[in-house]
Amino acid sequence: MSARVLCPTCLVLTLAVGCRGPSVDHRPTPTADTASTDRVAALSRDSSLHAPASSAPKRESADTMPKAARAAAPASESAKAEDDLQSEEREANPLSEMVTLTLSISPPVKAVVMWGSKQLARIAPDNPTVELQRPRSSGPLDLDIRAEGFLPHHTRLYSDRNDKVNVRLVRPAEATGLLGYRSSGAAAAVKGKTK
Amino acid sequence: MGVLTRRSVVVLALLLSLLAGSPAACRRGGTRSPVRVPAPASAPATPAPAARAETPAPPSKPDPDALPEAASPAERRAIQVVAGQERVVDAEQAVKRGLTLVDLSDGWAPYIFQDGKAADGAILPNRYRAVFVGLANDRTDGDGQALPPGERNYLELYGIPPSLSVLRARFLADAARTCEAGVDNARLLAVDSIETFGHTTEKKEATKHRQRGLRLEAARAKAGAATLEALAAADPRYAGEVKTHQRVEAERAAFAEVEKRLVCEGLMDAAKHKPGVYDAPMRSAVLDFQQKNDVFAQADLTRATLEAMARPLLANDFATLRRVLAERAAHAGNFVEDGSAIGAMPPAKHGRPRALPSYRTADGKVVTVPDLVGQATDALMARLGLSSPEEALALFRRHPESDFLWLRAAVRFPDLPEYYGPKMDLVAEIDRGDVWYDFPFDSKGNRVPQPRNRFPTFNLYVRWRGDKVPLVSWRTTIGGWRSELASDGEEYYRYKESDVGKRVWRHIVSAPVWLPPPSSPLASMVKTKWVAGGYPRVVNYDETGPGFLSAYGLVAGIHVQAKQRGEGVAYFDNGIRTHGSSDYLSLRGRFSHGCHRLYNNLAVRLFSFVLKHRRAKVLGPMALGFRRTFYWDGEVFEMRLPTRGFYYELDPPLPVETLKGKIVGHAQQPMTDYVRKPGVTYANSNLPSAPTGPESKAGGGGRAEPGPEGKAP
Repeated sequence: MSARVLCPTCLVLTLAVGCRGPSVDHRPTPTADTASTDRVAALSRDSSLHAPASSAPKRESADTMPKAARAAAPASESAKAEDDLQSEEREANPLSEMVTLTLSISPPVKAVVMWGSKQLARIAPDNPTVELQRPRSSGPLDLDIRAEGFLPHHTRLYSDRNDKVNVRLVRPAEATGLLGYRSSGAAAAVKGKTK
Repeated sequence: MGVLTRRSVVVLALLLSLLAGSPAACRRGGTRSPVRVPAPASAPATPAPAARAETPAPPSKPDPDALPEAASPAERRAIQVVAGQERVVDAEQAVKRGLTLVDLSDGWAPYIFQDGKAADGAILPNRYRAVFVGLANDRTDGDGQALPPGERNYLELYGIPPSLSVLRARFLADAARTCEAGVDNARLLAVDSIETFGHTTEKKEATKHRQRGLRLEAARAKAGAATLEALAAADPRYAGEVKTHQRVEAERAAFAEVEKRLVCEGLMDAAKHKPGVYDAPMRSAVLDFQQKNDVFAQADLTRATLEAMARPLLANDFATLRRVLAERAAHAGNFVEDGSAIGAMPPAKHGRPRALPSYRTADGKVVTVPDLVGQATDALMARLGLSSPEEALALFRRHPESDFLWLRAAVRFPDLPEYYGPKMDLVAEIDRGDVWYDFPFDSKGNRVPQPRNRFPTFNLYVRWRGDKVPLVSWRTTIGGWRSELASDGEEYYRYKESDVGKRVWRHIVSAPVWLPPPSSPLASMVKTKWVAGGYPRVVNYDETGPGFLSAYGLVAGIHVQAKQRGEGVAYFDNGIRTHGSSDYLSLRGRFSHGCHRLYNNLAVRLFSFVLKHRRAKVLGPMALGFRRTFYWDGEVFEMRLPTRGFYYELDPPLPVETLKGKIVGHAQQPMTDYVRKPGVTYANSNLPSAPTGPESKAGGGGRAEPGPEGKAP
């Protein structure tokens, strides 16, 4: 069977920013039949410019129709100087069979590093760094770091290079300062979640 | 029908399709392939296939490109089919004779994904190459992680054609299937399309159909009519309902044949599907079928889909093989002309046909721009002895999978036109076609039609002897009205303009990374994914890339405006790119956020061609160091993008101009502000101001948000 399943988030994405194509997830995502159906339907139309919902209350707004007075400034005025490009730091041997991936956490606490359903490593407070050897270009590691008193933390290590990431774990009380806390918190409240 | 009989029918159908010129198989409606011209006289004659050895062979024509058999080591081997017999020849000798070596190996990737070398000789790794090859060989997913056994990528429409080993397996499996005869093609093709619905609607429609049937049957009995047609003829009040009933009946019958074909082809597990219902397994199977066979639809049961399903399995495989070889030939020859350039010529007027694109030779002759890709593909197919699915099957039977580690063909390609050289004077042009600036809804929220006669096109020219010679003309996209999340958290419409005027491509990027603007909804940045035995939530990198699903596709050319600044030149980026796109259906008349999209395979061809025929410096992988930490549903997620992509710098940059097009409708200038969606109640009475920087464009401006990791992770 195919490795392709339509993206579970595509519909949301489509409505928000315009779908640029189906996302691919290489295992069947456990979703309801109807959801899948709707996703396919969503992909089949230009949903970024969907007609307004008929059920929504309709009212004529003064801002709905364009006005000639709002003519655009020349687009080039908004252009910015091109970024300076910087080459990636070179590896000693970019063709080596194995790469070294390094994960450090702070503060140094006891933590478990999960990779899917596998427990990849345990981190002890006296050595908050994990070093892994992986075959080069064997795919990235999407990791979930769990530590008591901290929010689950997702990060990624790339295996197409020697990669290193330092993760700063976040306590629930500190989450208010994170991007998305307000909107996600509100969504959770609506759903009655207590996470 | 017995197996032999069935096979005879299949063979007959194949022969008929070939006699008809086989374009039905190769280029049905809905494929990207442009019009091709016939093979040139210089193309090698098609040798007699080995499978027909028992029939008297026609007198062999002289074959000046045939090389002697050679016992060369693998790295010097190539193959040719000469008078129906395949032989191994010496690749170096072939090159000396002016033949082109076409890489048929499984390790093939287009030029733009090759590693580069720095000035000091150090390797500049192009990391996407391994993913491209893994995807083409059905070995890995888009992240480069191993595919589970039995799973397949069907990514041709996404710009990643299957490898020859994958096609080999497909041919061998399909040749062994005996279920094709069970599919009734007459029923399949008795309808124009099959209407499908979502789960709930489908149930309602089924009930409606059943009730209509009962109602009509009662009316027929009451009227004493022999058939429903007789009822409709006798009482015109029933004519409409009878017509609808019969259409649905025919569609249901065709639907059953679709189910059979999908099961037969191994795309659907009958045990997981409920017969008669367009459920998730069947939708997924239809989408696989469409993507496997280059049918432009997203699981809708269109006419093109049904026609493809009515073709023999091997005929479809043969059409795929031709498309795959066309891609290999285009890249081996480093040319781009595919017969589409006529689209760049002025339209026909006053009954005169559209002029053919042409160029002047040194001796003053006017010569038509050739379809080099089509001609080279014909030459390659002929040199491999491939004029039918059976011959392709024979090729795959005589070559074990291990041969595709090295396999190459030695072929005489068509002569290159005079304008070819290492430094071609190329210019790109985007014609926006008909442009509507008017808001597309009226005050009541009804869609206002905005028809376009001319759609946007991307044209590539070479300046030659004072003329601008068109090489290709492909459909592209321009910006239009899009939904956008504003700073007040509400969605508005906004016109996303494609900049008009002269720009340049200074940088070309393979496997580019797209940065989601800060306004991107966080829900779209998280997904569940199969990872190491579980379904954890992970950051969604599909749209950022690098990868075929990236918003920038597989490759991108960055539009920048060159401005004199003192003694030097500064380049300004307004977020516009010409790039490949995974949203292949958008190339059929939809809009972008301002960028100019191309089919991924054509974008890869285009930029590989540009790099081969312009002075370009390999910059290699560029650091980005992007890191965005966010909170979602009680968990913390980090998006990490260490690289921008693999960069090339054109020196001098290549001119690219976007033409204004024809502004149709009332508004002559694009709106810059947000516009409220009709029918939506907004909490905020004031319109938020719309951002104007390149971050708000399609590309997110390509500007990094350097994170705490610094430049190079």
